Amino acid sequence: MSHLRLTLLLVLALSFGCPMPDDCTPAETRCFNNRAQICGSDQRWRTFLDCEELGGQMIDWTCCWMPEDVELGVPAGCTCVEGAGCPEGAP
Amino acid sequence: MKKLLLRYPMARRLIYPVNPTPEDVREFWDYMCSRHTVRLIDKHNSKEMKFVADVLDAMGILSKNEFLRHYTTTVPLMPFRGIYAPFTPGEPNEDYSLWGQMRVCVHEIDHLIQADKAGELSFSWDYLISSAERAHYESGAYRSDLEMEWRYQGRLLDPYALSTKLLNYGCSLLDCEVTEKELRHSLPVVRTDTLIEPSSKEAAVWLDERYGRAA
Repeated sequence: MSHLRLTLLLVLALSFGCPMPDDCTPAETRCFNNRAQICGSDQRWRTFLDCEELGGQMIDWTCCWMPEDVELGVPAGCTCVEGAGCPEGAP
Repeated sequence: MKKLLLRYPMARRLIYPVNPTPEDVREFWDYMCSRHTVRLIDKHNSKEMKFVADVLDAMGILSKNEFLRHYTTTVPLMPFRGIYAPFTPGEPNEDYSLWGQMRVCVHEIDHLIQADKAGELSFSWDYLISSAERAHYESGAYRSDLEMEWRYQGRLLDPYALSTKLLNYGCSLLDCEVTEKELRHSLPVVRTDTLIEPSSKEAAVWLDERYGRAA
């Protein structure tokens, strides 16, 4: 019984300390449920912009994949864009 | 037309630089700290911070002097909950101008909000154990730096310079790359004056009222 408890405790501790990776590629971005997410160095997705929440400030925001913006220094990838839809040409 | 012009740093700098007085800085810190039941503590006189500095020094991560003199640290956990600052608000030094003291306040309050949202224990555990989590939490606080600097100084901070600071936090080059990209993808939103970070929104209530800068 004590072995079972110990094993259970170990499994719990490990699952608390080491969440399962999503197997994404680090620094890759994606749109997920109108949120812009980035893949961390641990291969887990994390939200960095919640477009729905930005929309709370009266204007609609949509998560879109955008081409590189050289002037502003933004690489191609996902971000929140003003408006209810993605601009033409954005995949 | 004005809104469009304000998306360009040069036009913005002509209209927007905020130059706080020492009294402004003190009042701002009081306002932000009182909203989050947190104390501002003199880092140089804190036994806890001296202990942390010794540990970081011994681990070869950061020299004791560097940590105590140049870094502001936030601890969300009771009974040590506090913002440990290497300056006195309203008294500028070589690292922290008056405006810099206001900006770092917003940065540190962002960490407190992150901790309150995730749970103080969970936040502290993740921050200490995982460099990817640490980088993500710092990215949020750096985004508040971006927002404050753009909204009140008309400057876009360099995401590369911000992200490489993480090397002093035990993060890897890959963590820096992820953070830099995250910050770069935030720039189109920051430039519209839409506030993203909760600490920036709180700060803007006070700052806009004081300086009449509502965009």
